Amino acid sequence: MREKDIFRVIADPTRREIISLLTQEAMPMNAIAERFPDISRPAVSKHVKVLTENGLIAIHKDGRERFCHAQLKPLKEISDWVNQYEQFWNEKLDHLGDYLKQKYSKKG
Amino acid sequence: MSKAIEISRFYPYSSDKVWAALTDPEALSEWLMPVEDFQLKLHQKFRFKTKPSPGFDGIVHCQIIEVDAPKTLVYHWQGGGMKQPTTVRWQLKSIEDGTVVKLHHSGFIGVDGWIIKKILTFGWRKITRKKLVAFLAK
Repeated sequence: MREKDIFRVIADPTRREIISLLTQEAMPMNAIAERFPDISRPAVSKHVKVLTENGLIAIHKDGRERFCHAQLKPLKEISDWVNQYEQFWNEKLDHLGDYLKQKYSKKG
Repeated sequence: MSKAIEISRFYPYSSDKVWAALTDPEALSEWLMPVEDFQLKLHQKFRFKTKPSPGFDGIVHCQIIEVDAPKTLVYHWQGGGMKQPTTVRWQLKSIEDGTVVKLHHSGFIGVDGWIIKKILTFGWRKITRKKLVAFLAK
């Protein structure tokens, strides 16, 4: 399952916890699954698969083990978005001031 | 896990004048973005259309969800790529020599809120946090 954007991918709290775990240290699949005793291993495995397919986890082989690493790049898209809107609104509110001034400026 | 933008501005004009600028399609097209189908009534759907840019098709789908003239106007705001609508809330407050406009744009499902929460929950290694901060600041 490859999602078009990152929002839906991280809407799931388990996935967010997995990423948070992996930002502390790279972990093999087994170790990740052990951290979620209430969730079946196949379910955890599926979350990891979705995260991998969406670029939030990279997998590297080290000997026989396959380690999962968190990849933060796709998340930057979101923080950029908020920053962009903050800039957008500041500009537009300036324009609103200009508009009002032009429309209602005192005559004479 | 959501982040909001809040901006307050003072304009030396009455709230009726500011309200008109926020609710007149011609005015909106002039200072905000060209707008289609805007009508000041509850549940009205309308669109802002502007130049497309990378990652944005130039269309913002909106729907009015609250109107209380001339004080409050709230609409959903769903730009290209947003899976869920965000919420834009305008609040006007009359003061002696003008109007304070408060803009609140919320509902961005984002990384900032939950990353901070997770930092608190898990106690990230300094190196990771430094890397992360440096990364997000790029």
